Amino acid sequence: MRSLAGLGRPSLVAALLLALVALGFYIAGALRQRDDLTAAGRRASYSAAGFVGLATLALVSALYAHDFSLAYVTDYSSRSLSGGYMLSALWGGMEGSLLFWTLLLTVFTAVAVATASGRAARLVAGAGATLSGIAAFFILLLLAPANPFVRLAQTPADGHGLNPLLQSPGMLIHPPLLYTGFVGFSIPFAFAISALVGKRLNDAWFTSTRRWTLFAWSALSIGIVLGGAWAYTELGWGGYWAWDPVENASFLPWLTATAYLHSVVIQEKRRMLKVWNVSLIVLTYVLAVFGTFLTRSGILSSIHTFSEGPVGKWFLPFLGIMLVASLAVIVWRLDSLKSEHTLDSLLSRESTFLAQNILLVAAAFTILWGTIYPIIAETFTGQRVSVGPPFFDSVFIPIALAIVVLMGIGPLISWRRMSKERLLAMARPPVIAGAVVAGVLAATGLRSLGALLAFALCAFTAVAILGEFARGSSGARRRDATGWLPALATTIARNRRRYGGYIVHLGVVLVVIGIAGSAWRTERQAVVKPGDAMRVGAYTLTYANFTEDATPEKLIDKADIRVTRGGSYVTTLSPQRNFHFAQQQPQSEVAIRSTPVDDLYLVITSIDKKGTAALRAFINPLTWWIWAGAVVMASGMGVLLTERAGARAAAAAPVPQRQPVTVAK
Amino acid sequence: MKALVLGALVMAALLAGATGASAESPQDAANDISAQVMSPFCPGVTLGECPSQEAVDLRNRIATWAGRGDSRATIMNRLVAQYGPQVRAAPPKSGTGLAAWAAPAVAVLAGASVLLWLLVRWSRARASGAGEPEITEITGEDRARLDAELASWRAGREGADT
Repeated sequence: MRSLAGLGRPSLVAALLLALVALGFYIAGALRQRDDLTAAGRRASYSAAGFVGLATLALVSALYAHDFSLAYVTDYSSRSLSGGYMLSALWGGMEGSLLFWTLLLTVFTAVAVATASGRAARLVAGAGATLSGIAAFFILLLLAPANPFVRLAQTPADGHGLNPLLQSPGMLIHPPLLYTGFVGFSIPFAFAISALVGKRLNDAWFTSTRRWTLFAWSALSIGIVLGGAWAYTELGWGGYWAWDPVENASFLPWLTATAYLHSVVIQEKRRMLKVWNVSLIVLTYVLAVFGTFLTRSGILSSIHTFSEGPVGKWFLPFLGIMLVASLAVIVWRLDSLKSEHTLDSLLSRESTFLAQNILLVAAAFTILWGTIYPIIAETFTGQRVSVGPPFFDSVFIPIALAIVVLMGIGPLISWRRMSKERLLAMARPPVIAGAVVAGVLAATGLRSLGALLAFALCAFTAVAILGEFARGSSGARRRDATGWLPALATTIARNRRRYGGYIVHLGVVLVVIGIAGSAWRTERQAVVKPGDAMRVGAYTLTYANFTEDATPEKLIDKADIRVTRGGSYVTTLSPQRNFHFAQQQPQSEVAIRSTPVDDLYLVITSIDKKGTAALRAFINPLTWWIWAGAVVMASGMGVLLTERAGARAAAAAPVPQRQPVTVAK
Repeated sequence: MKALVLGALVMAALLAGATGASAESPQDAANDISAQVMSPFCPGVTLGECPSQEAVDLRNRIATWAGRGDSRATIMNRLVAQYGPQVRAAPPKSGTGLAAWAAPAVAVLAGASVLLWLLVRWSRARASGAGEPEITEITGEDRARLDAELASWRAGREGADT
């Protein structure tokens, strides 16, 4: 492949000019209410996306052509790097990942302004201006402190290669999905700002961007889970979530976006919470950019430090301006954001949504606070402190369990109001299910209060949700005189928003079950040589064989571990300790046997030439359910995203008021 | 109702009984302590999560200390003396560290207070009828405008989604 690196910087200059031209046209179109100017802005947005695409193609071509005259290609690739991972080198470094971010932003902008129609078309000028301003900032970054097309004075024969941790199939998908999520929120954010500035505060801004919000939220959700899967299979510490600042940064906008997706339903149905919803979407986007700032600034110690760089000081003013300007516009329009109705009763679905919103935002605040507390403490006291998993587990788990309870109460309770007697009758089967699960687990010796509570609440919520499916399917079965499965399919297809949401909630329940399984976690470590055996839980691990191998990229030391349980052969696992030549860096490759009951997880932390190895062995019960839950969540997201426009309008139809407006004849 | 209350009580009793720890081996104690301290060898992760050989060695030392009967507090103090206070994976629940722990509770309480305030406010608005739509008569001019707005709204709704 031929390197097109020479096209990179000129393309970015053209893209910056076009983004600024688009910004000018959109502002003029909005001020003068002229569609022709807005249309010119649209065309400039398409062109800007095209030129950022060209710049991305230039960098990708340079990577595949081994054009080591570029510092980026030298720093993040090598001749021995395989083809697939060459693509992940695009987001393996700070400059490339910002270019990829900008590509997504400009393409999403082009699609959003091209497809906005109906009442949303009136918001295009303001949204286009907002998005073009953001795009101009990111392109400026790429031209100044984060230029991926910097040439070296002397071209080396080979590059330093990609960080071995990033040479994983998960890394081909995890960062693009996270960026898709982060950048995707810019569309509802921009339409909200447009609605605020243009005082068009009907429901067009959020109904027209609902699919964008769901798309971004789904991508971020799957991206976060894949990040956990990557940590689990690559980092070799037997876990999937370390409350690392960068992990937290991806979780923060997810929490506020989740709150927004629920509270916006109340605005659709009851015309309430208007200030809250615009604030949530602003907060979500600000937190998404904050996540990028955290990753790129290196301000906090993180396992993700492979991509930090000098752009942190650019992000802080950008974040500040965005936050202050957005809040100022919300305050400016407070009069137009008054709720049109009030809550009818504490026993209503609206109240559970409100309570859940408060918990989600409190969770986001808690995690943000814990993440930045080391900086605050050092600034004010001069003392260095750490805030790690013990803190986050202590403060987040109670909030998360309360959210699980609300996920169970939601399907049991109706909109507007419900009698206490009816709610108690509906809650009976789920409560009994929770009590039975807690009883069985306590009887079998589980002594972790948190885990018992988690399993009991998961049973409560799962039964509540499944009951809703059963009620819906039962009605469809009687109506259509059909079997249970076709009735279930019809029920889901006819109300994708409702049942898609329930499927996502069921997935969350499975994820919580998988996490709670860590209460039974067992870990053992030992130094073993071929022929030795060690025990972990019910398993006996026998070190059967040691082999050495080499590829052009690495030296491979492999230990074959024969696994038996109660004398019966189970499997043979082969963890590796490899040495990567390009980076002069050792790297462990874990070996996992995963089942719905437990994972046997083996990692070698050191090994010598005779094969004497430091072996860590973990039994992680129920971890399999985290990934199964994520698949269930993804299928629910699929159902939500395939909701048809007509069905969306019906689902969003306001709940009838108790005293409808009467018009005199 | 009785079954529900009984079920809830059974659940509460079982959960309340879920306390107490069985005797643990030195390695279990070391694993537990390793989850409570940050690794001096890997940035941003606990000692238990750190995959480096130095971390393995330190975990083994902790297991040795636990095996000879050192208490958790003694082991933790030893680690703090060696690696500094930032080796603790969570701020202390006293002094300046209290702020770290108090803020989440304050956030939840503040959120709950706002929710309560809203509920009281809405309940009062309902009682006074202020929260309900006003019943009013409209003029012919207003009616024509309403019809036009509704027609425009229906037309826009058909193609509203991007």
